[in-house]
Amino acid sequence: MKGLYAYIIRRLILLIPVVLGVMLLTFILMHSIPGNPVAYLGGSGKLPPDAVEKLIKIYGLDQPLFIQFFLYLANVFQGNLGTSISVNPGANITDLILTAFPHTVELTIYSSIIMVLVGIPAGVISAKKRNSLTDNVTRVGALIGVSMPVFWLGIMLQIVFGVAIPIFPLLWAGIHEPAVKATGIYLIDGFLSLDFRTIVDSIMHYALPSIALGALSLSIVTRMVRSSMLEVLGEDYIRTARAKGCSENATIYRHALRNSLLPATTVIGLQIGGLLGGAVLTETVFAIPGVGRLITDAILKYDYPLVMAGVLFIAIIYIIANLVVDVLYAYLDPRIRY
Amino acid sequence: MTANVLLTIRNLRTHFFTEEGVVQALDGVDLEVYEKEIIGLVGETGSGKSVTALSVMRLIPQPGFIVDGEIIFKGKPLHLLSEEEMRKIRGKEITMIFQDPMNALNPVFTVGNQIAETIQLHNDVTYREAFNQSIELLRRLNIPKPERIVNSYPHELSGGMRQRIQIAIGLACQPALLIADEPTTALDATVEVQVLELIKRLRDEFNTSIMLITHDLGVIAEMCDRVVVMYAGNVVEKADVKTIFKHPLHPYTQALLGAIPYAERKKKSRLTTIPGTVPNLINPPSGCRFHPRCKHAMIVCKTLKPMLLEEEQGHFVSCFLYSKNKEFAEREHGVFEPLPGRIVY
Repeated sequence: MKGLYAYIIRRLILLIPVVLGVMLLTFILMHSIPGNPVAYLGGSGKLPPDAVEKLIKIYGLDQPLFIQFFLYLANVFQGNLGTSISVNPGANITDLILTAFPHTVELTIYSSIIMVLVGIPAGVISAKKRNSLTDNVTRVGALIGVSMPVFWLGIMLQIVFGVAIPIFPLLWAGIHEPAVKATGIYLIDGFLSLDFRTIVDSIMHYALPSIALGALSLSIVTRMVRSSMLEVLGEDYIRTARAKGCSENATIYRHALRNSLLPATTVIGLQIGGLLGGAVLTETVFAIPGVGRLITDAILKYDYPLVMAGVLFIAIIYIIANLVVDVLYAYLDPRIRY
Repeated sequence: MTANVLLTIRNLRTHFFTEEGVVQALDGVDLEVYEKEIIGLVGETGSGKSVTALSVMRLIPQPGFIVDGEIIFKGKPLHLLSEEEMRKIRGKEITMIFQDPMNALNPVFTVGNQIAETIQLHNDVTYREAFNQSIELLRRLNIPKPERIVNSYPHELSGGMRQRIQIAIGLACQPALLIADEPTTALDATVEVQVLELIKRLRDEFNTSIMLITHDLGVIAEMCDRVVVMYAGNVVEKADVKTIFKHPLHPYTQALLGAIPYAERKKKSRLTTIPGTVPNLINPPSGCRFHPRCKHAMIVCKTLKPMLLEEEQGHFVSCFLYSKNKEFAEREHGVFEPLPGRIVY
């Protein structure tokens, strides 16, 4: 156990060079694009030329690039991510991200539930009844799932379940505001304030986006679980389990499942990490003000500090998701010790 | 041996229906296992030893099926039992341990958990009781520090220890028959001796019959009461262990014995080899399956299949060189002459 803590700390220290690298790369990329945020604001014709010059001075955009970078780093390490220039001029970036993040988290929660609760059983059943009708249907379904564009599926779901059969709301907006707003995640706040209406609203509003978003991860997980299950079922210890007198179900769910979940854990963890970074297309189709939309908006409007902060945020989340997977691995597989 | 018969296998045929064709892995196997005996199954790779064992366990992998014959265990026809009934016999009355101790245990459970699982599957006890019983069992098997071993994972143990754990799982419910499929092939010579000693002791202590599958004739000589020699899915010779080594009848058994190196061999005598390879069982040789490799092959061997007949008291052989099959062939076939055009060794 002690080794595990040391391992976690070591991994967190490794975060520092990765974060520095990510920031440098993002900075260079952003500044390689012709244009800048003030020019973007000025281009709309709302700003007089002297104001543009003033703003360039205020944001330090006239400084050499490396000085800009080091000034930015200095701010970041003091916990100051700066203010938005062009997306929401003057707004604190930390606040912007913290407002958007709960929506992304909520979407991730629902999509992950679909991914895990449907993906794992589907993969197991598919492997158990290999080459049967069930297996073939699952495999074709998973193939369709990985090949279907998210935005297309989202729009199709809107047309079918929002317009033709209006069961679910078309867009995200309109969830009943709960009394307690501790997390910003409607589902959790709904439970905290025991507001039934908020819970139902949250489920209804997130149903279509999370199905659209979850379809891809679900298919990936199903395929992964199926193939690793088939591999495990050929192992000697499965034969040993049968020779002991285990029933087919005990063999599969007790002896094979845990072993076959090892590779699936990696996939699930990284999928969740990816989802938490924001799902631009889904968020756009369903008008969810999440992290993905915030960052694309920032990129389109040359909002340097917001892009930097957003990318930094995604990188950290992804690394932490990776770390969680590694820790889970040690828990699932006794052969792995840190 | 006047003991009671525990297991009888009659005319067992197990075939694998693969895409390339039907693999006739077992082609009419006849054998019996008596109570409290150690019976050795010996033969080359692909001779059907393991398939015989898996057929008894009814654990033949897809796409294999028992197509004919019967397996009678304590009066029960195993080949007719439902999967549910068979499950109650596996692990309780008949158990099996496998060759590769590296993979035969589940890597994610402690060994105590895996022994206790077997006990719980077949007895109405709590997990705690089953777990304590596993410690007791390991102690009975003279395994040092059983309290520590039960909390280990398989990867923390040596190959020999894992094989002992497999044996413990096999013995957890005091079975009447333990099938050991090459239990020591993957072990070091020194560990091999210890594991074999353990298996031998079990017969006396647990009153278990043991079917020992091996291709090591040294192990057979050391361990077994009786030997069954298999070739390409057939039993070619069956006798008690002394008879097999002193007075082998079947040309295949003789060739097999001629291929063992031993220290007292005279300087000039060379190790013999058996020409050719184990036949393809999708399209096996006609008649006696050994005839293409046999130096005594005759015309009749190519056309007729010899039966496993008792040549001497308790000594069965399936070869036309010996009186009963010979008489049968002369009566039915009328011809009896050497196969022309063969090299005589």
